[in-house]
Amino acid sequence: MKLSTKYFILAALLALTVPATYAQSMDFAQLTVPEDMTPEERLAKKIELTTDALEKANERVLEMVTKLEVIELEKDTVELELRDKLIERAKGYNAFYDTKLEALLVAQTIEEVDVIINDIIAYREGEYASGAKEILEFILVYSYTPSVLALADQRLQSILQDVARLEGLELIEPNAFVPRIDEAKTILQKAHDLRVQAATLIMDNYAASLLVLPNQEIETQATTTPVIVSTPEITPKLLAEQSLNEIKALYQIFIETGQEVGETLGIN
Amino acid sequence: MREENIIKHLSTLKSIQPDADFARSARTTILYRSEPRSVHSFGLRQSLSSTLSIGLVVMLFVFVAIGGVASVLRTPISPTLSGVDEASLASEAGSVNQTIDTHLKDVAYTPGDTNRLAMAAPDESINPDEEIDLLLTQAKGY
Repeated sequence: MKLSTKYFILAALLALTVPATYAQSMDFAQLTVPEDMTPEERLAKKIELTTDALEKANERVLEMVTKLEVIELEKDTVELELRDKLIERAKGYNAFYDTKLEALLVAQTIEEVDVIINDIIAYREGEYASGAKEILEFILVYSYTPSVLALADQRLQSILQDVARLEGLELIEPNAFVPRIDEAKTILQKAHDLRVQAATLIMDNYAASLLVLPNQEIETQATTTPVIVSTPEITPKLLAEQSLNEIKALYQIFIETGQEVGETLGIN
Repeated sequence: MREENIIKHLSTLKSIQPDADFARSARTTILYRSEPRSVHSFGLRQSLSSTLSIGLVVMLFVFVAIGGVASVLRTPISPTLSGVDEASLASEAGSVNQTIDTHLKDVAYTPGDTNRLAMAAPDESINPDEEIDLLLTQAKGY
């Protein structure tokens, strides 16, 4: 049996027995390349995969732009200005990918396609990686996290109303749930604080390089938001992640509070 | 079933008493769901015959006896105490956790992050940028 045939059989077996994501790992990608492919087949495969990658890259960027555009920010703020610059930057990525798609259409040899692929990889690991990281952090801090915090705020208010009503009906002891409620309020406040810190850090990190901030605005921010000691380990993403993880813990307390209320009322 | 058996079974219903927990929960339900009574409805209620009232009480006890307790106790609280309702809380918590995980996955990887690729578990889904980089790696391999 030829070696390439063995690879084909092994690849087929792996494709059937391992999850799709794992099958896409780099090792597997190299393993699936049959040695007896003609140069024409290799060229066609390279173009097909690269085109697929570029189209997905364009979709990824358009998704980022859409998410940035729906973030509601006050007019004439630094945040809005930064958001608009990030949108402009993201559209630049689309322009690059479109250029490479056009180049692929006229590529005639494997070497030409390899040059294009290397250009794309270098671009993504350089300019795109740092820029996309900022965009994704902005979305995380100004869109994802606030929406989760708002939901948690609503739930806490709803729990507070229910507990107050039950106390009014003398179905639960007054102040019986004060420790739980206080714990929940503390965690929720911490989650809000972490998000504010993440937002402040975004502005601190990027305002200097992207925007010209009036000194007064910087001073105002410094007096109204928590002071952050900026270290390499602390990033907006890390702070936002911590904020979201606090919300996960908060919901566990909400569930336990609901269970305790049920037990007190004798319905569990 | 003979007539005397039916009468015998019905007579045993008289001995059924609600347990303490049920009495407490029923009180909770009645109190909680009570609405301000209008003069009109009060008059209408007063006009009900005592026979009908007794019949309703008997029906309640029969219902309790055949095991309808759980639904009686559980359903009224859901639409009214939505804040502390366990089912609603569990559902929302699950949704929030899933949303958070999705958001974090979306920002978990950027190109060139080789550690992330190496660390990805076989059953862990990848984010779009990872998928793009894997396609490019595959393309380069051909």
